[in-house]
Amino acid sequence: MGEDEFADVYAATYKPLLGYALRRCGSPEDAADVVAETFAIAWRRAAEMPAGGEARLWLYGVARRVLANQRRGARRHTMKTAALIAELAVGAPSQEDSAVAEIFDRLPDRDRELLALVAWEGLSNTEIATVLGCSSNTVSVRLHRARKRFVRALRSAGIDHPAAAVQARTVLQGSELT
Amino acid sequence: MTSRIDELVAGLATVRDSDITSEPDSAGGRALLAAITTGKAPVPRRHRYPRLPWLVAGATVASAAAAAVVVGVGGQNSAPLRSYANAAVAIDVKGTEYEVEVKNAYADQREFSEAFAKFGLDVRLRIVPVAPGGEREIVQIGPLHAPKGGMPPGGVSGTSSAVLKCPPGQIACPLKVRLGGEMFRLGGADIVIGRKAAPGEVYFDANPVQGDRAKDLRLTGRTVAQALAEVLRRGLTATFTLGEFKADGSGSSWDPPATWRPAGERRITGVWTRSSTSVGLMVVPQKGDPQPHPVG
Repeated sequence: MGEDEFADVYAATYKPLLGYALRRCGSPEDAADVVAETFAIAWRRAAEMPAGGEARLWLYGVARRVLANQRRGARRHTMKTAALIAELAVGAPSQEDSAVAEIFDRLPDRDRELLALVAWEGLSNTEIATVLGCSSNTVSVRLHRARKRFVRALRSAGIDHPAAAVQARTVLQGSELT
Repeated sequence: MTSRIDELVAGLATVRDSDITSEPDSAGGRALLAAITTGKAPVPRRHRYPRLPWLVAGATVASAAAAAVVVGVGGQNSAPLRSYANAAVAIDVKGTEYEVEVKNAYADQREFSEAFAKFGLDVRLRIVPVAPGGEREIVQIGPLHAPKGGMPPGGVSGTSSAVLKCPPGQIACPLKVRLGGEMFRLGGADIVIGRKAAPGEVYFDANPVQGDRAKDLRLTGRTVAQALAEVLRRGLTATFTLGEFKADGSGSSWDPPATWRPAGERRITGVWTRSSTSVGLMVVPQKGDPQPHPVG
């Protein structure tokens, strides 16, 4: 893959990948690191990167592993990340919303990622299978279990009717990768 | 349970794609790309198709599934190619018309461009997010750039047709495209097909319009303040466009800075869906409004 082709893939996948990272990172700084590392890996392994829409899924798969590596290191800097989140928050979520978010955060990484790929990235089971490198049947089964575990965890916390939309959002207008 | 849980999780997203103002061609995006591509050079493709010499007319090569088959005349003074095929794409030239068949439009874009390049044609196949209902369909076909060597006297013309067979659930989506005329030979071709947009991802075909073109939203004629209140009430965000269109569809529009807001008493003249979470609102430009950036 030449530089021009790579630039095309970069242009097509930049925002989806940034969104993927921002939704999973505690700060724009961490998200920028994930995006930069993911594209750097993609450039080094351009020969393996599929073309077109598949490239986005392939990059999600790379970003997932970059993020996992980052989290292993990030645990040593929890205070710094928490402070950045606090700076970026535009209004604290409601009590129930916060509880739902906490329960979601406590789910196993694999459950959380599956649920997020559906709800945040809007991927189908087939697309998730490409990201995770497994069959769509496996995705279907794991997703079913993840949803059940989430519902059980919500009920255990006394949340039977969680609000359909949670308004916990972050201000990112100034978060360019500069 | 499924949709309710998915909605609940969707609501937990701290960032929607529409919130992200950084673009690949912004200063940050460009700097990152430059930093990456000046790094370690990419490893050559492991399973690259063998580079075959041009063959004598009529000869074929079928050594491997990935091998390319080229039909033309060899040597330095080669005649134009008449056909080309690789594992993903087949092109036939009939007079001034190019006919191409792609096995899977959503997977073979690179081979598609490479195949056309064999004929000196600059053709790009793009996959873009589109509004619901436009997925798996051809969004547009047009020239890719200005005619090479400048616009010939009398202009250029071209014909195109495309068929994309891609019902929901089908994994491989064959695409047939016919391109004819000087327009595409000199200006290349940009073939755009739609995919499902991610939540909040702006649709490629979200163009400014006059009147109400957003589902269930009747805001044309209302004030900016009223429109924003209604948009907010529905949990959506709004992006403004300055412009004016006539009844025949002619007119112009441009995007002011993202943070710009018109005065609350001004009237909305157009409303359209930009993404699953945002709408576009148009107002007629007034003195003092942001001006369009000159192009070129």
